[in-house]
Amino acid sequence: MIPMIESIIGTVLSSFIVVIISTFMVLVLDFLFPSYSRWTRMFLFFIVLTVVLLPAFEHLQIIRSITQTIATMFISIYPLLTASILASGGSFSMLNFQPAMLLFANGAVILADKILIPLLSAAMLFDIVSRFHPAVPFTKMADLLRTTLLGLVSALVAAYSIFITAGGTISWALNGVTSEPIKELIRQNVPLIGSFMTDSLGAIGRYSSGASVFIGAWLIVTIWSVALLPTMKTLLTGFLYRWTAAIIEPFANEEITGLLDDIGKTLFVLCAVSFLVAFAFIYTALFTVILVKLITVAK
Amino acid sequence: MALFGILMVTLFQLIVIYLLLLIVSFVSSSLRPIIYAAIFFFFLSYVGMTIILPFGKTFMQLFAPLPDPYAKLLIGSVFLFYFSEVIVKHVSEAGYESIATIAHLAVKIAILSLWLPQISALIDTLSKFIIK
Repeated sequence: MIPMIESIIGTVLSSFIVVIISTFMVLVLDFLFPSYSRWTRMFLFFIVLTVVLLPAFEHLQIIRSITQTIATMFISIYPLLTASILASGGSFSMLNFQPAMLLFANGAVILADKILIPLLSAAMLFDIVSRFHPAVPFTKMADLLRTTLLGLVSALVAAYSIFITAGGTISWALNGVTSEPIKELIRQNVPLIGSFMTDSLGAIGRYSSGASVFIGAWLIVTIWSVALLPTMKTLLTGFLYRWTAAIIEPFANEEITGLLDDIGKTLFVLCAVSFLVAFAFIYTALFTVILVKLITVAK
Repeated sequence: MALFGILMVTLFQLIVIYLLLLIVSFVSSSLRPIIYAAIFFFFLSYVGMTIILPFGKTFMQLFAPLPDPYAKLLIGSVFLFYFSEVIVKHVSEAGYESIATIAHLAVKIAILSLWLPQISALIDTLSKFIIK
């Protein structure tokens, strides 16, 4: 965990130093050759776009490929799963695993693969275009896309938690009175998606506490960390982008800080989308594990 | 200190050249353009060798921590543009503006073609979003 955080901070910080140094270089060049200043700005933008935004682009690619993998995996194993549910008979009725929930969770992944992530990349491109060529701004469009996506994802997670509560499993500790201050802390301090995060973590936790009776806590911890790792990475990177934009604001020009800020926001929304994917992954993995256990016990 | 000495010497040379040109235009005004052009190129090459190019090298070393081709490319293209602009200005002072514009356009295209690999890499990265 620690080396991962260090590597992320290293990449983003080094690109932040690149922004500072290149801004200084451009200032000196503008002073020496004022007639070339428009082009120097343009090339500065190029440098920022290729060097600094590479981590963000990579995160988008990673989440996209994970989503595609999970969607294909689900489509290929779903007939098998339903067949084994039928074969195992009534033993599922005592558990809180509705096949409809599985279908819903993975349908969300397919939705994310087909609609949400393309829309998010469109928002990113709109941001870049409107900063690169301020005469043709698409900022409102990008904001609209982001808020729509966030609303859609929040609605899906709310539906998850409704389904799981209807199943009536044991509530997880995050919903207890003791953890209320932590939830409030996350809600206040993570911009845009704070309350969404506590909701979805609560939903996942509620679900896996029901499952831990059957498969043991260590497996749940493993599945959790595997599924949530990309999400956490994305969240951290988004934070670092916004932080960088805040630090360099006094001396970099406005286009670059605005671009970094926008990319940070987009990464937050990407983090929300990847929560959906993580949830579907956790649900499918636990479902499969419990199914295998049931079948082996029955024999 | 050495650089400061060179700068002072250059300033002195500039004054000497100015006086020389004034004398030439007084003695024979028909010879003035060709002597002016010769002195201009001589002075430009001298200043370029002693001040501008060494300064450019120091400048590049100063920004070596930037990712590899960018600092070199940016500084190099700026200096190229500067030399081209100075020569164009000189030629158009002599009254041959149209030729100067052609040369300037050529230099601009050369600068852009230096940046071409970077631009195509950027376009590749951006188009990955659109095309799966």
